[in-house]
Amino acid sequence: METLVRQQAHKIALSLNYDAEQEAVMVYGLLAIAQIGITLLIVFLLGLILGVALEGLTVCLVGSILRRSSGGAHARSVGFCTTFSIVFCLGAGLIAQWLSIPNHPLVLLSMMVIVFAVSLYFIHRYVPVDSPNKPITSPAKIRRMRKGSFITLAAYGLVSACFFYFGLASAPLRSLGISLLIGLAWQTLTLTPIGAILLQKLNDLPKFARKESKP
Amino acid sequence: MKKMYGLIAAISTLVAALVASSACYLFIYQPEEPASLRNE
Repeated sequence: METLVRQQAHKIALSLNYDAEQEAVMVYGLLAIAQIGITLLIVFLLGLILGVALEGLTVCLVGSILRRSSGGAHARSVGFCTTFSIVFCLGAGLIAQWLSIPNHPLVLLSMMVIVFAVSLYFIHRYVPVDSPNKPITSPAKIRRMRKGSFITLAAYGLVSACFFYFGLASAPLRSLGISLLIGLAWQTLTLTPIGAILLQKLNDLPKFARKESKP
Repeated sequence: MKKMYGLIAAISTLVAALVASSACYLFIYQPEEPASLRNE
């Protein structure tokens, strides 16, 4: 995907007489559009087939929106990131739907309290989590990112409470509420050193499989 | 065709600027950020 985006951007840059920096900015934006568009579209379409379109999109959006301000561990390639995001969102959607079938308000409330308390602690401890490709060193930006993360978490808390209240009588709403918790728990995990190691190991899996399949 | 390219360039530059104001890309891949967008 990245190669294709770079090729197309180069073609457009040549046609518009752009310099190397303008082309790099265009590649950056085009890659974001391609990745977000493809991931959301595939999650939605496969989700429709599996019956978890809304749950899958909820997991995807909850993680992504918090990630805007919190940052987090990163994958090494866009292909791995897109594939992993699609599989994770759909898998989490299926689990959320399955967990929503029994109506146990106390279990759901406990899950909510635990996920939000743990998220609050790790956001306070680690945010913002930057990467070598996009370092964050300015104190003003760090403050802005931390504030953004806490506001996003508070908004999730409000939405989650609504899902919990109205979900007492509705399994689909319970399912969306659980999807929100899974998305938040995953994004929180990517803030921690354990999450970074886990993502690195998962990133190495395709390489390992290729090595194993060679005679 | 040039108008179409111009539109794509404008939209992608706008999205790049929007993404640059956040801590990272929305998903778990972060390409290298162009120098002109950096606000560390």
